[in-house]
Amino acid sequence: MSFSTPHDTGVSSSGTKLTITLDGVSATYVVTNIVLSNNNPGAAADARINIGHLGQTLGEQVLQMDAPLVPPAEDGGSGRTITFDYIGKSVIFDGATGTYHIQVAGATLVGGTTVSYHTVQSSTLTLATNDAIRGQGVLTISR
Amino acid sequence: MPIPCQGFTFTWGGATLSEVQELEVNLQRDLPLGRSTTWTPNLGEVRLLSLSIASLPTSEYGRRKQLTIQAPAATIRRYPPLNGATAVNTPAATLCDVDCIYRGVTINATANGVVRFAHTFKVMDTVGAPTNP
Repeated sequence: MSFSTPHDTGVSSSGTKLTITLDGVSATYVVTNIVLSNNNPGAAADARINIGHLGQTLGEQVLQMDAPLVPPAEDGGSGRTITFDYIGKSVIFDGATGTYHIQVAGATLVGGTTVSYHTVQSSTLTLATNDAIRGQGVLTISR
Repeated sequence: MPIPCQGFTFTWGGATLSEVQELEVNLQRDLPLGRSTTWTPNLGEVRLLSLSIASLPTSEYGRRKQLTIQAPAATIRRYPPLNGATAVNTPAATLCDVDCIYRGVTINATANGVVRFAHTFKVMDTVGAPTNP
């Protein structure tokens, strides 16, 4: 099964749409690229405590346990991000929060209008000669 | 022959001490005191850093018991091979077998970590060796 790419039909009902709400204001973006990234923050080396001890036998796995505290969700701490490129002149300010919703061919891929939650980790807007105005946003998604 | 730092057994008066992460045995004997040519109040100290206080409750403070620490025999790999073989057998070893007084514990807790206990034992007599006169 094939899908229209974000670039082809970014705002049509049949293509891929990214709708994000920033501090209560909702907008649908003409996206050219979307990357969903999931990294388990619990797998990071500094998220675990080494509790291996001298009583463990040779060849046994090193005992570890999760650190009691979890990393903060901001700035990528949740390990889940959406990176998207878009065409348009919307400026996305960092630190804004809201909901996100990605649809493919009219069906929800991730997110929603009520329970999903994100924080803008970073954004750029590029205005260049002989090109469309292009931007990029990175959203940190809460777990 | 190196002794791998794993599989150690720790017993205190016959009770097992568990989850010991670090071991420091200091059996350095002080010079004799007074008119004696052999007697000394300081035969050494043993320090265990552990994740547990099981078998070492506060009621053990000041008790004198036998502390035994043993490393098992093991087969380890060494590189490059020795006489064509990478498997090397290491012998069992008794690292410590002494009569001690349990001096106490220092508890260290850090945020987002685990509690660690530093147990200290004062060596009173070396088991199997001539008694400290």
